[in-house]
Amino acid sequence: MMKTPNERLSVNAYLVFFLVHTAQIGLGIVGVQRVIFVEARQDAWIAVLISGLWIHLIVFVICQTLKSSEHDNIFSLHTFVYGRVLGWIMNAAVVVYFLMAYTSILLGYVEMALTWMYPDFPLWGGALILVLLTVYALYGGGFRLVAGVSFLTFFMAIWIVVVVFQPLKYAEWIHLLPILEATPKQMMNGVLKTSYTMLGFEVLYIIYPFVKEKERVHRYAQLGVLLTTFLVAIVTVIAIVFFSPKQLDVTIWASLSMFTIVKFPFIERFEYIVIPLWLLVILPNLLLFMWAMTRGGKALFHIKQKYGLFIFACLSFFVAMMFEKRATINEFIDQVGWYGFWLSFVYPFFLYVFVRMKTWAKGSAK
Amino acid sequence: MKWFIVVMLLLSGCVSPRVLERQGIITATGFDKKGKMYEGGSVMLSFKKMGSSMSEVIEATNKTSKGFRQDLEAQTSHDLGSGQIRVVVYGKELAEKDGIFGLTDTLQRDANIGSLVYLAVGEPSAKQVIKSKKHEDTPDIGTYLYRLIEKNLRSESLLAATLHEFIHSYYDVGKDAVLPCLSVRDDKPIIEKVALFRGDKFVGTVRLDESFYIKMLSSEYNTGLKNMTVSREDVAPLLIKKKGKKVNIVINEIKTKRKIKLISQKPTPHFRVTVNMQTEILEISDKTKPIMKDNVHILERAIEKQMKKEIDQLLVKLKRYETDPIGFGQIYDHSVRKLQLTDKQWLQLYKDARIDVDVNVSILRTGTID
Amino acid sequence: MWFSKKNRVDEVVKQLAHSPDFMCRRIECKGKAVSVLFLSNLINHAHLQQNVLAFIHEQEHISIEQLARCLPIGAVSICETEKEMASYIRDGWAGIYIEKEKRGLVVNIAEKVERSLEKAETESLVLGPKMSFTESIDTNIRILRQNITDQKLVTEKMTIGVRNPLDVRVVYIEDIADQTNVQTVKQRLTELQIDEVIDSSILAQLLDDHAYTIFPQYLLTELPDRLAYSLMKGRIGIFVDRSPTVIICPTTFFSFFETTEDVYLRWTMSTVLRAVRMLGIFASIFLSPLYVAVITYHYEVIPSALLLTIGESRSRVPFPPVIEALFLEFMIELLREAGARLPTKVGQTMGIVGGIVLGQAAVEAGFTSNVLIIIVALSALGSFTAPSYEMGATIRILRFPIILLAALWGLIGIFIGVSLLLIHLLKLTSLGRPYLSPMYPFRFADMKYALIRLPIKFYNERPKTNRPQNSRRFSWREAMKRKDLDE
Repeated sequence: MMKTPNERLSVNAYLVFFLVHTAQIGLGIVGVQRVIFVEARQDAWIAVLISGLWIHLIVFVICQTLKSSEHDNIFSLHTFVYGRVLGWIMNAAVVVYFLMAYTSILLGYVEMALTWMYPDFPLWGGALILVLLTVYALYGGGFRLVAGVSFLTFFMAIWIVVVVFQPLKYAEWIHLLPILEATPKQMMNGVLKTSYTMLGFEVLYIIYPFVKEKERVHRYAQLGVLLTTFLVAIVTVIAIVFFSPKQLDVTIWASLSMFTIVKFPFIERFEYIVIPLWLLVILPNLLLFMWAMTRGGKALFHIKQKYGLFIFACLSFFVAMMFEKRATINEFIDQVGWYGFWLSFVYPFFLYVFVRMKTWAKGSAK
Repeated sequence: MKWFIVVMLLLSGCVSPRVLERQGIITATGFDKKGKMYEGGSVMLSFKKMGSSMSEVIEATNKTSKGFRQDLEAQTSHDLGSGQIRVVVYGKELAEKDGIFGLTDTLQRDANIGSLVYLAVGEPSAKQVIKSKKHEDTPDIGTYLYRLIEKNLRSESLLAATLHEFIHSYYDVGKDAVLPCLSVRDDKPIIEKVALFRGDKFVGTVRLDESFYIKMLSSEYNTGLKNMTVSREDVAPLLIKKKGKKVNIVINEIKTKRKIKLISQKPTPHFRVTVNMQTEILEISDKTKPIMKDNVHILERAIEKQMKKEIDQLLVKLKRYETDPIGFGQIYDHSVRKLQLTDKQWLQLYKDARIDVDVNVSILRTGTID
Repeated sequence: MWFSKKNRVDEVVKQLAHSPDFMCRRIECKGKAVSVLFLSNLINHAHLQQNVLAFIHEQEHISIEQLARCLPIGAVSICETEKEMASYIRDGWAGIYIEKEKRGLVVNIAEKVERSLEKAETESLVLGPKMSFTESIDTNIRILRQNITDQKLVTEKMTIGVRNPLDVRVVYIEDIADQTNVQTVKQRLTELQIDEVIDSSILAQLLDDHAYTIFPQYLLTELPDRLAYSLMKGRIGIFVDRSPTVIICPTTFFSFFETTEDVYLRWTMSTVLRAVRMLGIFASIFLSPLYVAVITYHYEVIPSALLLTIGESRSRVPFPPVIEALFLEFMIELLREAGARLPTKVGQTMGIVGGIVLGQAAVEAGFTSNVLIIIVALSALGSFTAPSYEMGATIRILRFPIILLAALWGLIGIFIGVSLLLIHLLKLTSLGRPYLSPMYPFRFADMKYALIRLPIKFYNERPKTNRPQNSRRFSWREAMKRKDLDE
């Protein structure tokens, strides 16, 4: 069982808002519009809202789970619920998930940057730079640094939201009509497809012990999710009215393509600013997921976090090296989304039930 | 930090630089059709060390647009850079016969090229537009064309010209694209007409004053000058002299709201278009009595009547060209549930569609005098 | 006993044998031999004659105790050992031995070389007090005491340096400054094992939390009013003898961009001025890298109106943009450095000549482009707006790695630089306190101290960043009371 970290390492509850929000917003939001739109057509934004509601519920369940026993993170919960062996396997699954998520962000961002700006840069080079950035940050940094990065990068990037409204100049609102045309099945698929974009709130399972005022975690986590849902819904609506349906079907990075029509007197092509700036948006993602992995490594193998950091960094870099083509990267990201969907959208309910049962069983045994 | 320096050294030189002055910066490109080949020219900006900069038009002929690009590269010591392309002109013949989607798709796919590139149709050929010599105070014809189109877009005499809007309309079912049509007068490109498209094929042109109505009907807010001629009888009570020619009125549109409603689908789609327009009078060609509260409606009715007439004429013309730049099809598509409209179906429906137009004009101001 | 006395004086003489100005004056007085020992270069001779020698002569009965009681001199002390006495003498005191007495007496008649109080040079202000600290710790403490008459002002004395001991004073307001901070400072000072420290700037480096960073972690100031302001807000000052600058700690990143003038000016002005300064510093770091990145990789970003201007001026330059930028930045650094080394008047002329003539010539010769000259000049100006000399230097140096990153990877390179910088700043601490406070950890109430300024009535609390024990300055309710019309 892990010890709860001391006062010096923990952070204030309001930072949970930024942590959850920045963990969710990452690469997904750049291209989410198409994947949902393909499924739910003009009702894509409703799918986003539904999935947002779903996440609010999950966040509630996660906080209940963590509150209900003395085990306040997912790794010790797993050992508690499943016993030593099975719990170890479940923990490994969580770590693998974070590894996959980390690598997918790495690949996705580098791929985007290469396509838009540096066609002749090697993929591994980009991945290496990002991995080293993570290592530099976490080595001697720790959780407070991760929280700080997510707090500051939030403010450094949130102003883009103002610019997002500029494409509305070309909006054709009629694209949104007729509302609620999608069948429940289409809608469900749409919700499923949002999962990759909305993932990240599951870090709650790991950051929970590091927060000072535990009773306020839930509130701030919900607010973070609310903002994410709001932003994703907005970019989805804007993309639907900005592109014509068939055009959106073939646009990979819809958000970026929308920025191509933004220009300022001193900058002609805004997307050339947004892509580098997006580094700041994915930075908290990278740091959080890597940090989560090192916590996992500590739980699994009882190794120091700093050694875990190097091991996982190398591991994710080698995983990233295996990919080259866009198609395979896309498939990988889809798989991460699918894996994440089960782990974060469905599994928390089961875990809650298991924890409740186990606690009850233990209580009655006494 | 140490490792970072190592990686920096490792990866230095991995990105090939595109230094500004090494680029032959293309500001405009034109494509024409010549037999089965593409023929075209690009305006290349080269910076001169002393004095003002020069632009140069380089030309090539090839089967594909990428091959065309390679042929151009062969003719210059610079690397051709398309990142600053502002205008792409397509020859009328090319646009009419082959369609231009293939070429615009290349533009869209290229991350170097922004979505705000202006597209235009060149009459009689793109080459003539690109090679015309007069371009006012701008350094090159590309910049001139860019400013020309930009100005006309801003003054709202043009509807749309950007790559984004073209692709958007092209992909959108039930809405057809329009582009500015550049023609050459005295070796200087001007905009007199608007080119209409069906799909990606050029079908015809309308005058700028007609395109005013397309603009008015297809988008909500606009401001533009409109010159209209009304018959003398319509405004007779206002006039001092009873006899003479028709009366010219110049109005300035302040705010327009338009509503297009699908009234019924069967047997043929029936639309009702309602336009509520607030205007100000800038000029009346004849001497008039003071325009007061009790006689302003005469003027209003006259304008309404004339507008309705002109819109009806325009709609007939559009139907004849089988093109729908206003987007009735789009409205039809999005108003009817569970409908997967295709362009072909819509074309059939559009031919027989009934479109009623209602115009309500209210004159807010009459300038500094009544 | 005669034997023993003789021996003592000789011992002291032996210890100071290498000083030719060492004098040992023996006087017979009422049958007793009195030796007065001093270094003649260090003492005030008039003082010695009137208050020591003359006084001794007048005495009826003479003994060390009696002298210690009656000598008309402020500082006297009784010495047990010769070594102690020798060290006093080296400080400019005079030692007195009386025949047949074991102990000696030292009296302070030192006359220290000291310059007079002058106007502050490095941190010049338009408004506010102009006085600056000098090299003498006694004078400096005197100035401070004049500035702060708070009875809780503590000036703790410590000595560092094994071979060349240095007087150091830790000053703070007892019931405001955070006790942990005070303890940390004292602990670090006591643990310091070093032969000598020359200046407070060196002491500041010795006290650093992070030795490898480019950022200064302690503020050095020569302004008494600034020190007083900082102390009253809960910070700690460290005076170092022989140094005209005082260390202020703990420091945050933003305190390097504050001047006391910000407090003296009306809040609107100082908010604007701070914004200008921040913008200047931001531009100073990022303008030339942006130029390099855009010209080298992203010509698409240049708006068409600027394209020709930039293109034309670039077309004459035979080098890649990085070389051009580095060359010009180097030139500016050279000008600045040369100006700093030369006497003020010559320096100014040289700055103008170098700046105008060289710049003009460089453009005409086609070495650099006009646009870059503007950019580099702007960024140089920006870096000079940093009120702290150290921070200004940091910012100037910080540009170079970012220019290199921009040259390597364009805009993404710049943002990698930004990320590295951000992470680095987040890792930094000053006296164990976060460097980026109040930005992170975020303290909303402290923003008015760091980034903007508000009307004085909002400053009812001391900044939380300094963790003051007592944060209340005045009553918020009283300050915010509104009067009715005609009341």
